[in-house]
This record gives sequence, structure tokens and C-alpha cells, in this order.
Amino acid sequence: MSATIQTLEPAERPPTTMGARLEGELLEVSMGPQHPSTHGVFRMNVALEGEIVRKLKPVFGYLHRNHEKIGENTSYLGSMPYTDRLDYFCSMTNNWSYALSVEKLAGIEVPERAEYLRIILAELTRLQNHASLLGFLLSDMGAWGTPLMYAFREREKILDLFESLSGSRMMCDYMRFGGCRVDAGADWMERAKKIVDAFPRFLDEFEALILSNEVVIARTQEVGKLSADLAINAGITGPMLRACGVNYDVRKVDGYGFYPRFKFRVPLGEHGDTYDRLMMRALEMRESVGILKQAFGQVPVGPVMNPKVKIRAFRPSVGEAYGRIEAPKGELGFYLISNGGTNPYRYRVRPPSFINLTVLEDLCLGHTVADVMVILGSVDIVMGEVDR
Amino acid sequence: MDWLDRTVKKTVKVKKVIDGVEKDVEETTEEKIRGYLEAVYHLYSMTRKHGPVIIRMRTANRTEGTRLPSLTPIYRSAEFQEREIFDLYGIRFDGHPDLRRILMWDEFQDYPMRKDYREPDDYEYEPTPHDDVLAKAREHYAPRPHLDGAENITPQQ
Repeated sequence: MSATIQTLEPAERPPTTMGARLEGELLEVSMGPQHPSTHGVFRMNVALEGEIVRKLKPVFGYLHRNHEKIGENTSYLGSMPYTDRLDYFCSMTNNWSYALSVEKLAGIEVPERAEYLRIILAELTRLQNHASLLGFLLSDMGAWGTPLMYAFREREKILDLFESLSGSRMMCDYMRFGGCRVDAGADWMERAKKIVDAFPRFLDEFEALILSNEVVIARTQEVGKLSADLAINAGITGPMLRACGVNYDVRKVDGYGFYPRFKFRVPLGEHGDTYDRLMMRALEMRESVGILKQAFGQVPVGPVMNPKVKIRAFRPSVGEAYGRIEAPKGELGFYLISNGGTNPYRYRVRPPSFINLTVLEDLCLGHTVADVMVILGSVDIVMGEVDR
Repeated sequence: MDWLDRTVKKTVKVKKVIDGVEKDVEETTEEKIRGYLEAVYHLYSMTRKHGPVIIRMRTANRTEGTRLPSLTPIYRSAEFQEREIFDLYGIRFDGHPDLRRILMWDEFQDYPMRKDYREPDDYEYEPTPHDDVLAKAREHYAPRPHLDGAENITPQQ
């Protein structure tokens, strides 16, 4: 199947059963919100000409609970477990981004061991997010079950690690401003090391099975092309931006945490199509494995929490801060304004998957309905973060 | 952000001649600052890898003049975020191509992120003889012109 637009001349168009011709008639279809491929409660109002998408408007807000208002009415510490629920696949990176913003706001130092633990957990999160994304994407394409289960097998091992460290598989609530909540023991490190060492085998197997698969290539190459200019203009971040060939990774640009101490490459795509976006995840997982291996060799012994920080009744001085990190889905930032009280005056989340949806219409125009599912899957959205 | 009306008290030491003697007297002046809505844009350069350049735009007040120029024609990334600000704060962006509510439903009135937003308390409203409940209900049914038509509803005796 090729993705070229089939434009039939009006005379060639077959008459419908009603006897009418489909000349320039648009059919409006409401896709979702209850549809397995929309990754949550997400709706697209699509105008179709035959099977070709001519217009697409995303509709969301079904999961809206005004996270930001709740953040303004809770203490700084109280928002920490609630950030888990933003992007519920990657609670560790959400925690880190929020902790980083509060640390910026109040000028808090983080102990060295905590910084290493954060990097280990963020990269493990990236591994499990990208693995399950590839599984979901293939499931959307019709490879029911099997690839998803392969990916979830690996994800499960990482979630077990999270559980033994933080007490919860998905809602980790692990980081605090000024460090991490609990220390990881030597046995935990050993287990994590084993899982990371075995991970490239899964990647080899997965890439051999899937990424050179003829059906996958036919469904994804030249589908949903995004130009670098539009991607920059529309504020696209994360693997989706790098698939267009734009070298922008917050880990490299900001160098937050101890990332400047690590050697890793930023994979870049060429065409900006769905296949490049898919490959980007596979390549990033390999780089993450490299970062993890370096981190395991360097973790120092020491405290994981800055003892000077009083996380309860925490009152930063008046000011504002924007802290951002490279979350698996893109740039995740928190913008906090303090007026000296116990809760932030303004608590703003910059959700990557919400802003990445801006170009969904541009990606889908001219493709078939079946391609919309694949394109949406490759954008990588989580509705907890889009709707907040 | 939503900055409410506030009063700033300034204490200034002034030299005054009282009864022929020069004295330092503290004078307190009160200044009323009208509230306004503020939109803050952080602009990062992706090619030069620096930033942020911060743009702060403020409306004239919080009631009628809540209009700001839109940045969407220049930066597409502002499209959904300006819609969200319109939805939750009620700032109208001039020049935005598709300014609709995005997270709340279209029929919703009022702007929930404003600091003086009153959440509806009549989902399961049931009049009880307790004073605090009645007081809250009375407050809720106080006239709020052009908002939700609640002024037309009177609590049943």
C-alpha cells in the first residue's frame, strides 16, 4: 500500500448505491472518544472525501480535572504525587521536572547520589515508555497482541524495579525537591544492572522482527511527513522533532542534572515520517541503555536527600522559575510563581503531548483514515497529560 | 496569571515641621492597583540553542479589556496554549484563527482558573436548616450578571 493520494477524475468516480456521485462531497466522521486506537478518551472530527482525510480537528478535555488549579490550592509537596497522574506512563520524569522547577525556585542543591539515581530512573522510564509505545503502535497497525506483549514483558521488569524502590509500579511519587525519597540498595542496583544488560537482546529481536517488516514499512514510510520548519514553528519537542532532523535535546542543551558527564548521541531522522518517528524510539532506547550502563559504574555513596531542605511547610521566597527536562514524550516543564506562601500562586505545566498534537491535522491531511491511527500512535500522546 | 485588585501600603519617612520643630514622621499612603490578567511567553531558539526570551503581556483590567494580540500567526505552538488560556482565564486573543474552548465544554460559562472563581455548589443542592449551608447558598445565588443566569433563581422557601 502506498501513501500517495489517489485523486480520481470526477468522471471515473463510481456512482454510489444512492445513485449520487461523490463529487467533492465531504462526509463528517467523529472518530472516538471511545476507540481503542485513540489511546484514551480522545476525539477527532474528521471530514472525509471518500477515504481521504480533508479536515481534522482534535477534540479533547474528557479527562480534564484542572490539575493546575488543584496545584495552586495544594502545598508544594502535595503536588508531587499528583504529577504522577499527568503522564501516567512516566511518573518518574514528571516528578523530576517538578522537583527541578521547585529547586530552581528555591535554590536547592541536590546530593550527587540523588542526581545519579534520578538519571537512572529517568532513563529506565524512557526505556519502558518507548518500548510500550512501539507495542501500541504496532497494535494500531493490526499486529494484534504479540508485539505489544513482547514490549510489555520488558516494561513489566522495569515496573517491578520501580515497585521495589518506590512502593508503586506506576504512581511512583519518588522524587522530592532536594533529592529522592528513599535510597536504592545494592541488591536493587544489581537487579537493575541485569535487566539493563539484557535489554539490548530484546531490542535486537524487536528490530529484526518489526522494523524491517515489509508491512510496517509500507504502512509508515512517507506517511505523516512533518517538515523541520513546521516542527520548529509549532513547538514540537522530543523524538517527534528529532525525527525531522532537528538536533534539539534538552539533555544536551540545558545539561540539567549530571547529563553533561555522560557520553551519548542524539539520534536524528531524515524524512520526518512515521517510520522515522518509530526508529527514533528504537535508537533512543539504545542510547538510554548506554547512559544507564555508564551511570551504574559511577554512582557514588552518600545521602540521597539534602538535609537542609524542609519539605513540609515549605515556603520558597517570592519569585518565579521555569524548569524543564527531556521527558520521553518531549520537553516537559513546570512554571511556578511563588508569592511567599505555602502553595504556588501559579502552577503551570507545559505538557509535551498536548503541544505535539498541534500539527496532527497537518500530518493527516491527504492520508486515509487507516493512516490517521498510525500517525496518532506515532505522536505518542497520553490523555492524562493532554487534558490535565 | 490572574492578579487581583490589591492595595499597596507604602510607609515613607517625611520631614515635617510640627510646632516649629522639624521631626521625622512616618506617613502611610495607600495605593490601589487594579487587577489584570497576564500572559507570559517563554521563547527558546532551537537553532541557536539559547533562551528563554520572556514576553509578558498584560490586559488593561480583569473585566472588559481582557484582549491581547495573538502570537499564533507567528508561532503555531501558541495555538493550543492560547486556546487554553482563553478557556481557563478568559483572555481573548485578537488574530487567533480558531479561538474556542479547548478543555472545558463549549457551553461552559465563567473561567475556572481565575482566582475569584466560585465553584458551583449546587450539584446536589438540598436546603438544610443549618446557617452555614444557607449562607453558602445565598452567596451562590447572589446576582452575577452576564455569567450564568443564577440571579434569576431564587431559593425555595
